[in-house]
Amino acid sequence: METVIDIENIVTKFGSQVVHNGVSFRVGQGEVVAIIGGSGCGKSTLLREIIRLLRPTSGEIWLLGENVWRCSPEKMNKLRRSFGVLFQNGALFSALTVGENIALPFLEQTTIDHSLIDDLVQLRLGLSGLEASVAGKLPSELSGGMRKRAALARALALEPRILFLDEPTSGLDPVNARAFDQLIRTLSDSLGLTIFMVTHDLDTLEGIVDRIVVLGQGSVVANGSYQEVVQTDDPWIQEYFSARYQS
Amino acid sequence: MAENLKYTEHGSKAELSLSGSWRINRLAALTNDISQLELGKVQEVEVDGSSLTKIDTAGAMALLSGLKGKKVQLKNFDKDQLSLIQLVEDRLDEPVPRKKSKELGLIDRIGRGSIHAWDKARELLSFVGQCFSYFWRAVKNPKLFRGKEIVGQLELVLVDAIPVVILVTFLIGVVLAYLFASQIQQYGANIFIVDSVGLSICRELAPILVAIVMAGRSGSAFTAQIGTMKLNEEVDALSTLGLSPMHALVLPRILALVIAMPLLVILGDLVGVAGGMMVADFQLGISSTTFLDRLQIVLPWQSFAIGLIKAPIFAVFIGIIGCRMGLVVENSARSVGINTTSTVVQSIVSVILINAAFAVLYVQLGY
Repeated sequence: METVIDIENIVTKFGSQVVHNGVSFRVGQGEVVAIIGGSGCGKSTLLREIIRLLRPTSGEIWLLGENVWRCSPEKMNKLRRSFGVLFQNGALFSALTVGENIALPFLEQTTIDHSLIDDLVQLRLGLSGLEASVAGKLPSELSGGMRKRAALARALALEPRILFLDEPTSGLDPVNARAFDQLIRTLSDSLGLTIFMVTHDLDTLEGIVDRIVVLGQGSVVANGSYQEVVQTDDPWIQEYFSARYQS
Repeated sequence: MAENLKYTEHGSKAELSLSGSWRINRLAALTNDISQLELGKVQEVEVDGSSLTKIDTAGAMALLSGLKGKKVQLKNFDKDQLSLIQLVEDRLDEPVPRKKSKELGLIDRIGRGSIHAWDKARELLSFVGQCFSYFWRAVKNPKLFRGKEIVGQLELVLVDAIPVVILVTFLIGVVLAYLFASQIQQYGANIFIVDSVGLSICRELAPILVAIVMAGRSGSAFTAQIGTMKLNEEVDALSTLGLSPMHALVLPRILALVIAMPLLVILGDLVGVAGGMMVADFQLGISSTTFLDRLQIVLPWQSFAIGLIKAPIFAVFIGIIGCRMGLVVENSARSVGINTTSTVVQSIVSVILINAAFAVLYVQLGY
């Protein structure tokens, strides 16, 4: 399997606080990988480092064969077109309608004709499971679940090969959360997308994820399928996966 | 023939063979090529993907919308490509024609505008009423005046504003004195610079300038602070904890502004007159002793008081506008920006209107 995300020995420090102390793992083409860990263990930080929003103290990150923190800005811009990011609260631009939000990447990054962009926007909405009429609404008029779907549509805009999701199901009711999971899985299977997500949702982990990476004490504690990780002999992991059966 | 497709027709059936890369970067060309096929009588199209290298959702969209209305059969696609095309086929909605916003006629607009303005005025009035009723409740139960918050706000609106007030009023004093000096010299009426600078600074300019600085600095800050708290549901959290947002957020800000404004106006009076005095010395040779002597004679205490009385009234308006615009922020980040701008505009306009009203009032009363 071709490696699309390669993380080598990442160290991150904020002042004297060490967040990552040598994190390494790989993600292959078409995999759905989730990263879990306790609060403050640096999951979202790692995600931000991979998409070049936050520089790690040391270590290398390779994305589709490019070194994210060493490549030229032009290369990075090209690279940015091949991944999409779904931020935790959607991060839709509040001044633009949903349709304009999705059209923005096309207008900024491509020379596609406006009438074709309209069609593409409709298709993206359809792929994210939204009705075409949502395009005219403002993000503030949408419910939380619809906002996530609209943000997903924007992340999918430029046909990315990799999708980064930050807590995709947080704030959704279980019905919506499972529907969103299925949507992600369908997209991954049909479009061959590689998906890398930060999540806390046990049902997501059990249902649609190929591989789980567990972060703890600054490094990778476990890395494997759901079944493998559940059987890992680590107190935090045991507690994590038994949390819902206790009460 | 187009480079990415080969088309052969057999009566009502046709075969379309795709080749090369069908991806978003060639979307325009693909859409164009496929729209130029003359599919007139053809009912059924067999699409052959055997020499297709790559396809993405945009390519699939071009293919499917180009063949809309025909029966499409896919053959020789690999598994991944087939599932992608099928997903797109499932989700490709009929495009909804974009709604054009209706052009409003002139009368329609005037009507809507008036109703909107009327609603706004009523809301503002009811908010003013609320402010006074909460203030009265606090007067009866002084514990509701939150001393700590008032002092904290005083630091922001009073202490931190001192440098900018000094700068603005000093420079206006200087500019004004230059202007007067150049005119007065022509008549040899040099000493009257004291009257004109003293009167205009104390009676009009210092209060107005301080009010404008406050509107831009503090009024906008009130809206931004309260608006962000509203977005973050902090305002709702306050009420559920049994703290009224009026007492915890609004009153301390307005009171701090009411205390701060007169003090800043006194500062502005002093600094502005000092600026004028400096120019009088340079330009007209009037020493500061002479200037101050004359100032005591020609500047009645009423003029000073007239400027000072306006300050707390400006403060009440700026505070109420700033806090109200913060509380009516709706659930988007953009709304905070719009309301902050609106606060500054409303505050400055109302300050100038009130000032004009005062000017007429004082003249009628004979001051």
